[in-house]
Amino acid sequence: MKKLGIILIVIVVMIAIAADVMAQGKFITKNGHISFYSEAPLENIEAHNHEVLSIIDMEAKQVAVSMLMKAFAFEKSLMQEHFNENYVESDKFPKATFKGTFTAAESVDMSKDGVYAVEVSGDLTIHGITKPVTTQGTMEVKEGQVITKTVFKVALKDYDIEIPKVVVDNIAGEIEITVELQHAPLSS
Amino acid sequence: MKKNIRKYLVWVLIIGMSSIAFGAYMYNKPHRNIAWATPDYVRTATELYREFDEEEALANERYLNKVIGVKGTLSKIEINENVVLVLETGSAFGGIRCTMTPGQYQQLSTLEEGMEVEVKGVCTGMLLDVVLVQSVLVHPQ
Repeated sequence: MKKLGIILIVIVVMIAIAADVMAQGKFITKNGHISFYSEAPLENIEAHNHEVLSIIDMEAKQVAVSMLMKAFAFEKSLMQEHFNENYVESDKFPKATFKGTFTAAESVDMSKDGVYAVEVSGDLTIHGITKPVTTQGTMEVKEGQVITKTVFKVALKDYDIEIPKVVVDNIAGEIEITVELQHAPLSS
Repeated sequence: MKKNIRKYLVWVLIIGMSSIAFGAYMYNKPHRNIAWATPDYVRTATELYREFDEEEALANERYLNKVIGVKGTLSKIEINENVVLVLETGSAFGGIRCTMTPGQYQQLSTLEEGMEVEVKGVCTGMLLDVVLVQSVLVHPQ
């Protein structure tokens, strides 16, 4: 009877440790920074979103990023209106999301500060349209936080985003997206 | 004949200049001043969260891009690029996140977690929390 008791205690403790370890694998930020930029003849298009939600699972090597389109702030009020009402139609499609996985050239050591080159692959959904995206970036472990950074380009027509030529006389129709997400451990 | 043409040209000039001036104003028009704005809705943090949690599409239709006044208990103050006030909603999963406009340091520095506050800001939707941007502290002032 005593033996059974001891075995049970050991099992419970092991589960508790395992749960703790698994919880340690997840990191979150609710104020991630994503901005986009494109040169244009009249005025450069630039906007910043500081309310990006991102959850990263260091063990499963998965990321899930979510942001509200109306949280993108432009310098010019009129440009922000056009962006929301005409280009991305944020009333119909209030969010943009990215779900994917990452691989690092070397295994990430969470116990000490370091910077790692990573490749992130997954599905990017903007304006209701989902397309696969792969990009290179960095993952930095700093004082127990995980900072992910990447820069990549997106073709507006891939997501059915139409900007009149008068505003953007850009042959490529591409926009540069800069991502910086500083994750802290997710406390369960 | 000459006099008529001249009058006509003067009018064309006036209308032309006004259009240009209007266009320039629109192009450069300032963002909504939230500090002066009367909220379109006033809700408690708990109510607002529940509306989004239960029927997000309906809440989006009602609240997106509107100025919302939110009353509640301050659960957290975050100092990031901007100051963020998080209001309790009774849910463990999310609160009301209000990104504050700069320039309110004096008022915000008196705040402590657990205080009853009222904030107004522009609703952008819900991720895990309901997110308000361009937020201004209404109470305490």
